[in-house]
Formats: sequence, structure tokens, C-alpha cells
Amino acid sequence: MLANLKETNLRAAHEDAALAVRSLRLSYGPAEILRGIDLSLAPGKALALLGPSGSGKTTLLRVLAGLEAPSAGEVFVHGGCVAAPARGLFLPPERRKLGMVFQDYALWPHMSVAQNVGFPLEMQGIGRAERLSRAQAALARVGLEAMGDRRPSALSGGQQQRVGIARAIASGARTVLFDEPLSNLDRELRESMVDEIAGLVADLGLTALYVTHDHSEAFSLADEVAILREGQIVQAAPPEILVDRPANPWVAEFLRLGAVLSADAARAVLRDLAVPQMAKAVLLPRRDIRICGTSETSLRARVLRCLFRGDDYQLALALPDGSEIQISAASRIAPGQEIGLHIAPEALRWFDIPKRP
Amino acid sequence: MAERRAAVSGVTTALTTAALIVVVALPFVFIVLQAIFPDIGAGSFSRPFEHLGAVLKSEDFATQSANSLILGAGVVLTSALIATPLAAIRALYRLPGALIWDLLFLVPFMIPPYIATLGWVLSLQPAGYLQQLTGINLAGFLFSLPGIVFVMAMHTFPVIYFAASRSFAAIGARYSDVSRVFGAGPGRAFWRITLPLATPAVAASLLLVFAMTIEEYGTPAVLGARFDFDVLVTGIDTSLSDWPIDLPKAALLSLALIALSLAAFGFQRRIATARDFDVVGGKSTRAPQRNLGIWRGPALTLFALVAFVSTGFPLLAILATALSRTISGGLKPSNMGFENFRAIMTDSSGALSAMGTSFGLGLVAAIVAGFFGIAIAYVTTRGGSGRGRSLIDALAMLPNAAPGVVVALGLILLWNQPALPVTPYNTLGILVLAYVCILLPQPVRYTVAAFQQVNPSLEAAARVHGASATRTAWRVLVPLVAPSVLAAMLLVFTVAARELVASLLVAPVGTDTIGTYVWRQFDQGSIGEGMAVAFLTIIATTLVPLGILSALRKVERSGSSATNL
Ligand SMILES: Nc1ncnc2c1ncn2[C@@H]1O[C@H](COP(=O)(O)OP(=O)(O)OP(=O)(O)O)[C@@H](O)[C@H]1O
Ligand SMILES: [Mg+2]
Repeated sequence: MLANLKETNLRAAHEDAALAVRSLRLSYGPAEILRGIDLSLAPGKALALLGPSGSGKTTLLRVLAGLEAPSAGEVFVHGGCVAAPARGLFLPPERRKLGMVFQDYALWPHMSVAQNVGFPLEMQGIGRAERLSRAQAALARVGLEAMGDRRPSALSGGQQQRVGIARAIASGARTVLFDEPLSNLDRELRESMVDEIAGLVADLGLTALYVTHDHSEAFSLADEVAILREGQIVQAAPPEILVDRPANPWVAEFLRLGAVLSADAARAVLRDLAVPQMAKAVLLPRRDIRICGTSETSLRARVLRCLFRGDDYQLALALPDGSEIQISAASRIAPGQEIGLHIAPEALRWFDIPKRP
Repeated sequence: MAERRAAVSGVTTALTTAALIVVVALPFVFIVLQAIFPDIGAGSFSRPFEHLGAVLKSEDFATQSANSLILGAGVVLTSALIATPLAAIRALYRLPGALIWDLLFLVPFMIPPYIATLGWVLSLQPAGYLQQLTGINLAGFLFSLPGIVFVMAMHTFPVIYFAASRSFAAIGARYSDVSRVFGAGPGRAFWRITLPLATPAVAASLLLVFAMTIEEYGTPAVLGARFDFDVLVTGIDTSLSDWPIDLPKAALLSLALIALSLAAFGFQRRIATARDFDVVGGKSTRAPQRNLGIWRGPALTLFALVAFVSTGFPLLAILATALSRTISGGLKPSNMGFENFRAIMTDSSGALSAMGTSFGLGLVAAIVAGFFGIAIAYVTTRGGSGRGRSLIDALAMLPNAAPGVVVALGLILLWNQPALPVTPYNTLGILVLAYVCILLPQPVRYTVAAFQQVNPSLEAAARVHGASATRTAWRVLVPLVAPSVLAAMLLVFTVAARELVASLLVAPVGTDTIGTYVWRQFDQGSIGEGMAVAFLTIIATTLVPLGILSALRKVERSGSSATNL
């Protein structure tokens, strides 16, 4: 009875969502790539999917797009169920009405830029004149109105990806999947294009699922960030909460939030501290760590490296238990020197899950 | 130092060019000379062009050229019709046993076309195996233009199958899937994206099939003879070996054939470079995940059918004949035995010595061609000066456009010149020359590609770390290109050991190779021993190189961490 009620509620939630998956699994032969994923994205929201290489991010996007069929679970797009192997349901990609931007651009080399962008409209059966003007409008949105007649290969990488973005929005798709769209571009271009994409998503009120390797990209674009590890979502939360309260030591380390110590190491390092009962590990968030004199604190660290970064210095420090942490400092400190660190006890994040060796 | 290196590479270039001129260029020059000066065979330049008009106006020239074109077009069309759907299924869907089908479709390459054709004759001729087993007599079909086209397409379709499936797969994963996301159904995705993008690769393979077809001798010779169907290749052979021998005519037909092949190859090169979208290669492609669904059964049936008809059927016919005591005895257990194989071992009909001769010649040709390939690759990819490089490149690729029968004609014309003090003619040396000339493009292509893959900075690194130029070549370049060179040499060995038409034309009197032995046995009606030799040859020339290659791959894999490119 209760289970039934929960079931109905969940279904209602999925019907409101622009994108949702439930208990999604996918295997290639014996290898299970996606291992029970639940995710839901409300219309107009942006979700970033973050995870190490090989964790299944691309595969998840391909399942949502319909390029890959799940082995189990359900996929919902715009409230409708599009894939449910248990019921033998599978809607092919062309009927899911999504936009998608690819890591390798995937522009069709035998078509001009305008033809590329107009292709989704052509598939909808829209006439030539309207198609051209809408393709042109989409190109204008990404600043490439003059490039319509060119071949994709005659454009720079950044321009090609702009064409890819124009193609994804030209069809009027409400939901766009981005698969590491900027990872082939250099850093400067990446930063400016993150801004552009964020502006575009906000202007058009798009729902965006954005896969990336880059934490800052994820944090600046997304309303919510989901962290994928070996085919499972370990945490999904707004960026601030993620940084503030990582769900486990692995997330804290993956996001490079600071040093994660096991409870035993913490006892040794932070001598005057009460370690909570169930605690197995603790995060020392680097943004809460201050440098102080060695006499003021029991927490010591040795400087390993000191790198000048223009605005400040980045210190790599070794803690007494051997773990490494990186913090920023206002002035240069010579490698080999001992320094004291201060951290407020309430800034520590305790985990009842052990830190993996 | 730099001067000495330039001098060394200058000497290499000069030697390579000289060797290429003797082995490749001169035979072709003599064909051209013969076409113009009918008495060149006697060393005379008299009566130029006297023959030209007569041959060009002769009925043979027109019909044989037209027949070659028709045959080429028919085989291209038929192969494409067979190969394209198979390639699309293989590339775009999850096909059970995909790799096994690929392997099976490699087998037609392993069977020399004339042997496969003899297998078809044995099966489909009146009272052949098909009629014995099913009562159906398809002799009328086999000895007709559609029959020749069919038999040749069974040999050539894998060329298109492999080219198309490779390019369909790369396009499917990278471009066609994308169009699905943007609203194209499977059909539209194929027509609008996959097919146009695959066109260059597929067209190039069609032209290759065309060239292979018009250069092939065995199949049109066996089948066409029964209903007076002559193509350029068989026409050349007739002018060369049937009385009255007409060398000027053979030369002119050869030039027509070379022109057709060159046109096909030139066209292929243009397509391949002009419309190359570079869709193959790059990022690793994902295995196709689309299920065949209810089409699984029909698709598998189609693959099995094509594999059986193209390889199983002729092979079984060859084996059955090899095992038959007498042909007239038919397919009966009482008629089966190993008599033919035993007879080979006693060498009463010269089978064993023919095999010995062919394997020996194949080995020598492979070694010569391999060294040739290395020299040419070294000069064209590492040589200092640009002069002579394109000449060497062109000379090395010229035999591509020249079938065995043309090469044989060139060798006959060149090495029978009365002014020559010594000549390899009428020795086994002329066969080595023929095989090396015919097959030279293969080792050159493989070796040049291997040289190009070795990043020059690998050699630079060796030089910087104290190795001399010679040691660098020996310790860095040679180990890295050795696998490719060896593979190319194996290919030369395999093809040379079973070569037919050049061997028929230039083998010294009283010497048989495998090809000429099988051919004569068939002609004389003692087919059993011929087919037993054919069967042993297919096994030997398939399994031995495969064994060597897979052993090599194992070695390579275990050492690949060290020599990773
Ligand atoms: N066709 C396939 N067959 C078998 N395994 C596959 C296939 N495609 C992907 N995988 C495996 O699935 C896992 C997830 O791959 P996926 O491409 O989704 O990772 P990703 O998170 O996008 O990684 P990256 O950040 O490197 O792009 C990897 O371990 C990969 O090796
Ligand atoms: Mg990926």
C-alpha cells in the first residue's frame, strides 16, 4: 500500500520533469557501465554531470538521447516514458525532441554550416525559406551569421562548436544535452564560452544537462551538480551545498576540497580535538585553513612546493600523517619550511564512511 | 657529415632508380616500341605505325575493348549489389559472429580466381556436382556473360564489403547517430548522412574492383572460351600464343588495357583525395548497439548464403574432385580416396616439382620485392633530394595498371632482343622478374606506409642520444618497419606462388609452376591431381602466412609497451 503510494508520487514527479531516469542500468556484456541511476531535472533548470573519466557520463547522455538502450530502468523525457526495457518500450532518438552538443562537434562534413544548422528543421518538414531564416537566426545567436555558406572544416574549433550549439537550439528543442562541449578548446576560449552558454541557456529558458570534467565549469553553469562514480550517482546537490557538505570522503577528494584524513590520522594530527563517536574520516576544507605561526597551533605542515599564480601563491603542504593539501597564500614560503595551520573546529566535516586507503 | 649522408642517399636513389628502370620501365617501353615499330623484335625501327591502323580498325580490338568494359561494369555493379547491404548490416547493427563473417569474407582472396573458377566449372557443368546432387543444370548460366560476371563478383565483392563496412561504421558512430538525435529516422540518416559520406571510400573500392576485373585472366579464359567471349586480356594471350603470333597487336591491346586501368586508378586517386572527409580513423568508434530484432534471422541467412556460395561451394567442389578416384565416377563414397594425393607424392606427373618450383620462386620473389620495397620507401620518405622521388614513386606504382599478361609481353619483348649479350629468358630468373614486377606495388605501399608512421623524431632522438645514422636505421627504423615489410613479403610469396598467366607465357620450356600445372591438368582432362595440388596450395599459402602473421602479432603485442608508436 505504502509502496504503491510512493510509486505514484515518484511517477508524478517524473511526469513534471523535463528529464528523468529511474533505476537505470546498462551493461555491455559482463561490464555494468551504469549501475542504478536515479535523476530528475525540472524544466528550465541546468544540471551538471561531473565525474572521472570512464564513470559513464557519456553513456548516460547517450541513453537519454536514445543512442543507447538501457538494460533496465526507465527513462522519461518531457514527462513521457521513452525507454523501459521491462515493458519493451524504446522510443528512437529522432522522436525524443532533444538537442545535443557533442565533444567532437560532430558537424556533418558534406553539408555547409547553414545546412548543418537547418537539418533538424528539415527533419521536421519545415519549408526551405523558413528553415533558412531560422537557421540564420540560430547562427546569429552564436555570432556566426556570416559563416552560413562555409564548410564546417573551414572554421576554427571554437566556431565549430558554436555551430554545434546553434544546431542544438535551432530545432526549438526545449532540452539540450551537452557532452563536454568545451573540452577540446583552450582555456581562455573555454572560459568565455561557458559565459555564452550560460547566457544562452538562461535567455532561452532551456533545460540543460551538461557533462564536464571541469569543476568550475560545472559550478558556474549549473543549478545542481550530480557526481557520477563508476556508474552510480554519489551525490546530487546545488553547487554550494556540494562544496559545503560533500556526502563522503571520495566526493571531497574528487572536488579537491581539502585534505581528507582517516579518524586515526585526525586524532594524531589534531591533538586537542574531540573526535566524534562514529567518525571514520574528516575533511579539512582548504578554504577554511589559515596559515599561522607554529606556536599558535598544534597543526603543523611542511611546505613541499610554492607556485606563483599571478594573484597569489599556491602552496602544496605535507601534513604530519603524510597526506598532501593545497592552499593559497599571500606571500612566498620556501619549500622545506614548517608552518602552522589554523582551522576552526566547526569547519571540519566529519564522515562516518571510512576514507579509502 | 651532411655531405656524406647526401652522397649515400644519392647513391641509393640512383641504384634504386636504375633497378626500377630495368625491372619495370623497360618492359613497358618495349611494349610501346612494339606497338609503333612492328619489327622491333629483330632490333629494327623500320615501318613505323604500319600496323596501327589495321589493328585499331580490326573487329577484335573493338569487341575486346567493349567486352572488357562491359565485364568490368557488370562485376562492379554485381559486387556492389551484394556487398553494400552486407556492409550496412555489419557496420550498423549488432550482428552475431561479426568477426567470423569478416574472416569468412577474406577467404575469397585466398583462393586464386582461376582455381575458384575451375571449382565453379566442376560444379555447374553438365553432369557436374550440382546436377548430381540436385538435378539442376546451370551450365547455360555459367558459360554466359552473366555467369562470368557472377563468378568474378563472388571473388571481388569482399573488396567493397570491407571498404564500405569500415566507412559505414565510422560514419554511423560519429555522424549518423547525431542526425538521429536531430530528428532523422534510420532511413533518412542512411541516405542523407551515411551514404554521401561513405561515397568516396565506396567509389574507390568500386574502381579497384573494375581494375581487378579487367586485369583478370583465368576466369574469362576458362568460361569465355566456351562461348567465344574474348576480353583484352584473353585477346593478348591469343595473339601471343596462337598461330599466327601477332606481337604488334598484342602490344596495342596491352596499351588499351593499361590505359583503361590507369584511368580507373587515376580516377580512384582523385576521388579518394578530393572528397576525403577523413571520416575513418580519429576517435575510437563504439561498437554498434542497435539490435536487428526480427531481422536477425534473415540477416544471418543472407551472410551464411553469401559466405557459402562465394567460398564454401567452390572449395568443396575442388576438394571433392581432389578426393575422387575418377571424375566420371561421380560423388559416391566408393569413388572417394586419397589416390590423387598419393600420386602427387610420387611426382609421376610433375606435381611435386611444380610445387617446389613455385614455392622456391615465391620465396626468392618475396625477398627481392621486400628489399626493393625498403629501398624505395627509404628513398621516397627519407631521401634528401626531391628530384627523382616522384619518378621512383610513379615507376613503383606503374605495375598496378599492368596485369600479368602485359608484364609477360613486356618481358618477352625486352629480353628477346637480339642485341643482348646475356638474358634471363628461358631461365627461372625471368619468372622472378615477372613476379617482382607484377607484385612490386604491394611491398612498396606497405613499406612506405610503415616508414611514414615512424615519426622522424624517433630517429632524431636516437641520433641525439649518440647513435650513428647507420645504427639508428638498424636499431630504430628496421625493428619498427619489420612487421609491415614481412607482411608484404608474405603477400608477395602467396600471390607469386600461384600466379598463372605470366607463368604460362614466360616459364622456361619444360618447367611447371603450380599455376601452369593445374591449368594443364585441367586442359588435358586429368583434373583430379590438378585439384589436389590446388587444394594443397590454398591450404599452404593461406595457413602458413596466417600462422607467421599471428605469431608476429603475439611478439609485437608482448613488445608493444616498449615500441609503442
Ligand atoms: N561500446 C562499448 N563497449 C564496451 N564498453 C564501453 C563501450 N562504450 C563505453 N564503454 C565503457 O563504458 C565506461 C563509461 O564510458 P563513458 O564514455 O560513458 O565514460 P565518460 O564518463 O564519458 O568518460 P570521459 O570523461 O573519458 O568521456 C568506460 O569504462 C568505457 O570503457
Ligand atoms: Mg565522455
